[in-house]
Amino acid sequence: MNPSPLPTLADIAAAIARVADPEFGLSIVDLGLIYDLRVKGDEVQVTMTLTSFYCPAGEVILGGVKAAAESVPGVSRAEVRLTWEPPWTPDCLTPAGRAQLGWDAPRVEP
Amino acid sequence: MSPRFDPAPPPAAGLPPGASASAWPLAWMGLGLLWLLVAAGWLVAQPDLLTLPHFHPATVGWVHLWLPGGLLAICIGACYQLMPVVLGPPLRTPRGGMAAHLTLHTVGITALTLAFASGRYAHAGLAGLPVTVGTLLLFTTALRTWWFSTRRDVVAWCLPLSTGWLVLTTLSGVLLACNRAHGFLSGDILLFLRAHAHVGLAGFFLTLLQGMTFQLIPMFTMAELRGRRALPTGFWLTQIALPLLITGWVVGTGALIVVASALLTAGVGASAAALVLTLRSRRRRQLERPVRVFLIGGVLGALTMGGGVALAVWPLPADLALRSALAYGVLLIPGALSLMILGMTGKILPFLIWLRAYGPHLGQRPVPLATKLGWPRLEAVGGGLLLTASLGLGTAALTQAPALARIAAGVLAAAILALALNAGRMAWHLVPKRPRG
Repeated sequence: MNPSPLPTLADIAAAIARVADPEFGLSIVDLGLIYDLRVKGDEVQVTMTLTSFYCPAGEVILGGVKAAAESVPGVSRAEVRLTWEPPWTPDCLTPAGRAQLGWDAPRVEP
Repeated sequence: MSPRFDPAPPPAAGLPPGASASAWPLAWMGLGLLWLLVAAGWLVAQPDLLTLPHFHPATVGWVHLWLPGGLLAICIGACYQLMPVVLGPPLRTPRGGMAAHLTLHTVGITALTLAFASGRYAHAGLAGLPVTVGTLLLFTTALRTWWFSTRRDVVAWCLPLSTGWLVLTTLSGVLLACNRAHGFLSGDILLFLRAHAHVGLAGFFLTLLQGMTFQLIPMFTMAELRGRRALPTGFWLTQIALPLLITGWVVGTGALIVVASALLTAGVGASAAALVLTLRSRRRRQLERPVRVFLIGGVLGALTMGGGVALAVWPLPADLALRSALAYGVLLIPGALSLMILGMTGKILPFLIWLRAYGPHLGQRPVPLATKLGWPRLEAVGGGLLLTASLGLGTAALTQAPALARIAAGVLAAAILALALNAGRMAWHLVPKRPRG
């Protein structure tokens, strides 16, 4: 039996992109929560943030990212690091995320 | 500057902490919806309840089933869920405290409603005791969790303050019910009853809404918190107005009541201004239906409050004053407050169910969104009917129209049934499914 091939960044990114924020329905990649992704052999390190320090789904989302990364064949262990630097702002949204939120219309200012 | 890292959570084996913590809040919300259903059914059977004087025993019984029964139970569930999220530290509740509070509240409200409905005020006083002990448990939990938190904005302050006002509400209720049986208080009891009602309505519900709205609305609409001066001004004006209002009612000083009402109205106005500014900064263009229901309730509440101030300022003929006070209460309790709380429940409940049913599977298999667990059309029907019923009941109370009261009671029951069925559909996701094949 052949050992699993080493995972690629693209494989990991695709798996993580399937994790959606339960409230907005956007992929966490489109939300701009993933700051850094590294693969060292069969180990993965994800650095990410949350939309708010008080995000009630924070722990679940972090657990989901870890599970998604570890579901990729060839990954033995995924480490998910949470950072608040730089803090997330809506400017982190990808164009796809902005479109899904209907944000491409001119912004309403008070 | 190097990035600041916080430790990642443990692997998603079993229920994540957030999911296991959702069980008690869900139980509270289920209990609240059940009591609203019973109260709506009661009103269909006896539609003249809301056209009787507001101090009639049956009316008082119905209001206690709807307000501290239904709406308060839902809010208590939300408080237990949001406290650790908003404040940071784990919930500082004594061992068995959650089960004890739910039991005390269930027993207390059931007995309280039955005692009021049958006009047994001494029994109502006794029945209020377990409710009071329960509110003390909630208050101490909020205070201790807040004490260990570093957050000190109005969102954090609203938790110990609102629950503190709630303790005062239940204590004063017990005192007034016992007084009705034993007559140890001197003075105008009707004014004391108004003080009791306003400590509950403005003290607990308004304080909670003036704080928690500014946690939830930015989160649900992806908005920035704006109105950074208006927000604390509104909140603290309410906290200043409340002791003045209570003193005004208890002592019977009309001028003090007017001043306190003006301060309270200014406080609500400042909070409304902060909310409008916050909403205008939102990134999520389309407001979801539950958020719209919440906002409609807020507008109705502000208008009704204006009417309440007018009632306090302008003397009316006795009969009209009585009918206006009843209409004010109806528009505020089954109307504005219910729209706001049930609107917010439409956001919190599916999230709690999602957390428990699908949170542990996130990243492992496809899971539905929290916003897709219910029946959107039923939710829309429920919200629309609730607004229609509120306006109908308010008009029926003001005009003393029994036919309109009957129709509006039926509409209210249909609204609650629709919202409860939608909640049931969401809760169905908690039932473990057998794998196909």
